[in-house]
Amino acid sequence: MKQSGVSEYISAVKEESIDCRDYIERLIVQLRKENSKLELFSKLHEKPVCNPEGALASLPFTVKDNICVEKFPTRAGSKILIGYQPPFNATVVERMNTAGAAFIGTTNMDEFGFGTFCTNSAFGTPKNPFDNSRSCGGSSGGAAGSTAILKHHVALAESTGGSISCPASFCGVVGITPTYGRVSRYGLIDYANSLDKIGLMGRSIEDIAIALPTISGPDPRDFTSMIQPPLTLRDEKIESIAVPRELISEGTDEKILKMFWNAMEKLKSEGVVVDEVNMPVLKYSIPAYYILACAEASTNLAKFCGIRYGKEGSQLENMYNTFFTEVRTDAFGVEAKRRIMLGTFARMAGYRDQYYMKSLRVRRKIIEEFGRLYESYDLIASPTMPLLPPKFEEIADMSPASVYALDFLTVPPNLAGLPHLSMPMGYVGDLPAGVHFIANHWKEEKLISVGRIWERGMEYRFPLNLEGRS
Amino acid sequence: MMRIGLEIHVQLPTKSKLFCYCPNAPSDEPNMNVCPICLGMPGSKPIVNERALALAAIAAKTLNCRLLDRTWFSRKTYFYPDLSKNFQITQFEAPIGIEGFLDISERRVNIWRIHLEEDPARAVHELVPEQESALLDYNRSGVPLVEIVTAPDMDDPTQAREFLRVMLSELRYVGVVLEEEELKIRADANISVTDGERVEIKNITGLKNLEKALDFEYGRQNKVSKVGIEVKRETRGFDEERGVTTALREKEEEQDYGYIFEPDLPIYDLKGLSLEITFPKTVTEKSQEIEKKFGLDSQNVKALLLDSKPLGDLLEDMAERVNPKRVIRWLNTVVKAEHYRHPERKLNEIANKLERVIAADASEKISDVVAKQAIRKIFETGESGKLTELKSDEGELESVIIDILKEKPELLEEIRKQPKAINHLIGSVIKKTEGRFDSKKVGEAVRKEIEKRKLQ
Repeated sequence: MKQSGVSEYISAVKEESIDCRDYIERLIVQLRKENSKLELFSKLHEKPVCNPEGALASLPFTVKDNICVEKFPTRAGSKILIGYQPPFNATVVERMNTAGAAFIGTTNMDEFGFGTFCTNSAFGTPKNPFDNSRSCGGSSGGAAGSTAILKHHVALAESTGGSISCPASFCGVVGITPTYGRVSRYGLIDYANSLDKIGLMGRSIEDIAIALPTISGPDPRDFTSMIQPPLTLRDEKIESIAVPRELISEGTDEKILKMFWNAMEKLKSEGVVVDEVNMPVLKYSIPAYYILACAEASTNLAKFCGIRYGKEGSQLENMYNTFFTEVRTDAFGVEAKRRIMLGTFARMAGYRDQYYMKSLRVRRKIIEEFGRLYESYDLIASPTMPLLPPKFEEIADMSPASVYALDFLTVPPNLAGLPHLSMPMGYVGDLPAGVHFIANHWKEEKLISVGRIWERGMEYRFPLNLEGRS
Repeated sequence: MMRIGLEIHVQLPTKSKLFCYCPNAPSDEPNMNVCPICLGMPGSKPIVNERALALAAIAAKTLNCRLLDRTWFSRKTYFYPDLSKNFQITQFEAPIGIEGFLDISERRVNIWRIHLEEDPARAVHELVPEQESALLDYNRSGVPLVEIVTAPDMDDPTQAREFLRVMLSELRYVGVVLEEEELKIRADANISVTDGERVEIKNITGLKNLEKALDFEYGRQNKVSKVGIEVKRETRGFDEERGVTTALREKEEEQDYGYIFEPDLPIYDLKGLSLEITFPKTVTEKSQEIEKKFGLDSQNVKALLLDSKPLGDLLEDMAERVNPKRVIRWLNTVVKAEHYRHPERKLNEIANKLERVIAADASEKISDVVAKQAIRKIFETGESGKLTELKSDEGELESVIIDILKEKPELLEEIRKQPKAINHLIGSVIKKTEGRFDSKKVGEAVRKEIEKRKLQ
């Protein structure tokens, strides 16, 4: 089993060979310096609390900017939440605190999670630590970037349609998106409630395996978390993997494809059967996903109207409609406005049946098809992203539709609520690429098991190894 | 011809709100019963109060609706300052119940659907009257409501009011609404007059205002069409102070609320859930039961039960031991009136005393006059006092009448001119005999005496 930076750190804190207060203070100083250049953090904590007790004794953790931290600016990457400090902690934050972990700051993201490159944040654009002219990926770009530079740390991230896997792949870190409902969403600022999942990023599968039990489990404040079977992270034998042809046929960088087939060969040599299969229904996943996600998002964003929190409207003498229109026009970014319009359209009378309702049926169909595959296979695999982290000037030339299309590998498991894992697969030049594993509902242990197999003999590279020690 | 349909909002008496743990209770201070959920703070999620679900199912059954097998919540999106999330969690495709009805005196009113939803916050305009602004009180935000939608089956405003009154009584009997709801109940009314377009009057509060608003609107639509102007399809508001409806907005087409499923909440197996709910007997069921058991007229029993459940319970209990016909006669008249006059007097604390009086009357031990006085005294003081026993010595009664007529011979003259004046004489006799004789017997004796004298 590979060494885990996290477990090393926790033992050192418990043995008092690391003074956690000193460690974290030094760490924050270094991060402040790096962040002025990388813009990975929305806000660093001034005075992190360290607690040498508990399962995650003083482990530094970051929180994506859309997960509420009590009395700490939580803005979901949006100008409309400037000034907002939630009056309560998200359940996941509460659970990390209880386990003794030390919150060190919030990480930058695409506004409300709307984006693939983290270029839609109102608070700067995170730069990929491997190459500062390139994207971290999105929407949890800051979470992935901070994981790539911090030696002992886990990141609380969130995925709606691929927002954990994509940046994990671009930043060369491990990212797990648990089954929908595994981790309580209470305190997560909603993008699309039926798709949103809180997950983790770390530098090794063991980092993930240590922290995942802490944030998982039922929470009466989020009904959708109440029906889960217990999380077990036993080592499971992985016998077979299916590779849907629809996920490897077109649109993927050839170097990435080649690396992916090498990876499959490596798994075969470990005794795993790898079969190519057909799953034609997958071609509907992108439209179904964007319709459902935008339909829900357009209702979720309605609450931001400049009255009770965040950015306040100034023209108090205006009528309500004019008042909130001014606030929203000014404070929402272009992509947020686009998704509000798309989503509103998809649920209007006359269109609702052919878009919204139909997408719900497509989602059900995709879930069924996945279910059929899991009758014969332990896992499904593909590359995580069809491209290497692009340069910012390349991104500027992409149309919204072509960006949406890049999510075709990460959207299917997200749409189906299936747990999935992105692992660093290798490097093209200096840039990382990811391999994607998808398990059946509630089978996170299979992801952890395949991750352990994959990491045998695999050397990860990290651009920086910041730690609070001299 | 007139057609009226109603959409009625009734608050459910749960301990906490519909989607959070805040108390569902009035508060003198604004914004006291609030939390991140009912304030719609980012990141908060609703959780369903299952008691509200049960109460809504009871309401649906009481109004003879068919319960759906599965039910769920939806988001109804519209921007309004009192709506904390700018969407309301309500029910769209799968309400709690459909296809019900309620019989009122002259007709059957069909009920299309009944569903659960959250109440918005309250916009307070009174505190800043000089400004074009309002304050928001979120105490009400998230309070559970059932919305009841009727077919346009009512023919006039009086019927609409009667429907609302009977419906509230039925729901009160099964514990779904509280006593004071009659004053607070909010309804939207659709009204159309002889082939005219449908006009909706929004947000009418209370029974009296409903009738007033409809009366006014009926008159307005008649006047408009008499001068040859077509009645427009529109939404109007009701100005309570001036008693008039005023135009709010023209309604060219239905507003589009862009409903989606509420993704944070589950689909409920209402069929399974309803097996666990104890459905109380409705007024109709209970009065049929009482009719069968005690041989009473079911309309009489129903009237009593609709008025007050505690009096209904008292009837059922007392009729086991005392002549049921006597019991219901007293409960429907004097006891009911005194019960309303003295709401502070708990029925269960005086039930024994009431029973002693009514039993004494039923077994002809006291006169009705004494009984009536005793019942009043029980409600006023908690005690009946001494019960003067009934006498049957008719000779004494006759001599009292003769004495009075001797003292006041002018009474005879009055009665000749105005036969109703006989009541004066009867009253005087009752007073003089201190209720020792039954009022009916006194009447008979007086009439006999007068007849005798007419013949002379």
